[in-house]
Amino acid sequence: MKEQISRRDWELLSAYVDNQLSERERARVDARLGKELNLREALGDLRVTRAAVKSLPKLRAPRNFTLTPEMVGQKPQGSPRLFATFRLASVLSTVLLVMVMLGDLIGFGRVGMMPAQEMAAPAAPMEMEAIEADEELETTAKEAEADAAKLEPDEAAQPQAEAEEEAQPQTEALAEAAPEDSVEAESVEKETEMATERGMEEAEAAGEGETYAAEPTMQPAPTLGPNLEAQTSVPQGGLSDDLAVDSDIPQAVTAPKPLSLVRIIEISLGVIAIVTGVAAIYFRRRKHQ
Amino acid sequence: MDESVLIKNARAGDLEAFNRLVLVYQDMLYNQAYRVIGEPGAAEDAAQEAFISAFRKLHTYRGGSFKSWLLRIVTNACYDELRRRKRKPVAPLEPQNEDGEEIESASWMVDPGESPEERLQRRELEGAIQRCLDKLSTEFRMVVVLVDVQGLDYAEVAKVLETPLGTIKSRLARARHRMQDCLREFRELLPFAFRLKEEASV
Repeated sequence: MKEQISRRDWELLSAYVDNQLSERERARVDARLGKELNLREALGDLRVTRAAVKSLPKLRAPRNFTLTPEMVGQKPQGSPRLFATFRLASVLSTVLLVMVMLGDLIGFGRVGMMPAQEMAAPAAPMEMEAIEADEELETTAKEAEADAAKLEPDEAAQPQAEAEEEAQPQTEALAEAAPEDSVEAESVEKETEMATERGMEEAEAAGEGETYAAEPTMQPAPTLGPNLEAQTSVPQGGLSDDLAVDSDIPQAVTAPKPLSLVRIIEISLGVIAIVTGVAAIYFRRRKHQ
Repeated sequence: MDESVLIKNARAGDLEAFNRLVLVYQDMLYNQAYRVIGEPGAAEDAAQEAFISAFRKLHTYRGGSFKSWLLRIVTNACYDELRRRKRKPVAPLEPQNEDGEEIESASWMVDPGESPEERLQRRELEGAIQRCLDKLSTEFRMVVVLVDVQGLDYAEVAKVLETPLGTIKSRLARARHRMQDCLREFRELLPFAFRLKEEASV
């Protein structure tokens, strides 16, 4: 009976079980299946055959088929060369680090003072400005003295105070003009002081001159710019009380000390040695994987 | 990682990315090779060769289904292997005991959940189906395995085999007809409940 199924019908049934027919073809086959017994029997056998093949177990690969560089003609990745390079870099930087540290220990570390010395150089032109400002200040003080002589002793204090106020910003300007050169700054301060004192002869009774003399001229000469700047940054309206308070600033302020050249070199070499060492270990492990 | 990214990286020469794809598809390729060639050792060789070839030809992959693309490559590797075997016939590598006798069911094939009878029946049925497949011509076998084992639709099979869709339909129908005739010899091995279900659905 099954032999009566034509090749065309068998193809239709095969596509029918795979659901690969169009809607129209499928409807036509469905209609014939309702009428033709041999077609239904053929469809049953076809389904059994198909299900038998589908029942074949899915096998697992007996081993991994992953590829190695040799299989595909690839050269091994650049790990050996990279490993050797990083190892050499690590060793060299470590040796250099040890040499620099030894040099630092046996006196080469004086190079560490270089930044302060280098920073002193630009202060030279400022020195001239400081002298000019000093002369101007002196003239102002003398004028104030002359004016005070003309006035009554009671009124003399007022111009004196004005002169003092005038002198104060100039003092600040001087201090700021030469922030790096401590010696020059000190001398400028002393001269300013003397000029102010001359203009304050009649007002000495008020004791202001004494407090002015308490300015931080007795402070040890700072070696670095920021310290001096902190020391000389007196408030604008600064009178004797303010100055007395400010005289404590150099001890209280701890400005961060910049790293010396030797320290920077040491840190850089240390970082390079560690990074290249870790990289060398990484590439060595990759090579042996 | 996304398959497209792995493919892109593999195309750039990244072997690790390609090997991740290998791990995903190796069972599928081995199954295809084993069902077409019918011998485990040769199937291994074909699958390995297919992956090597796929890596080298990755620049020819133009998108679409990567699975179909790999199946096309393994199909070609199977043809090569079958041609080679035709020139130099080799004895199939069957599991044997210490006396050199064939083992019905090697230990690595055993499913611990099966009774000995079930195991025997399953092995016999599987062997019968595989023998019927082996009797088919290579072209017919390819189509049957791609449709019924790999689950591809006709259009995909046509792409994999680079053959017109009508030819695929015709080959599959004829292959199933021959399989049916062959399996009739082993009909008593087919599961009874399985047959009842098929008959009831008509």
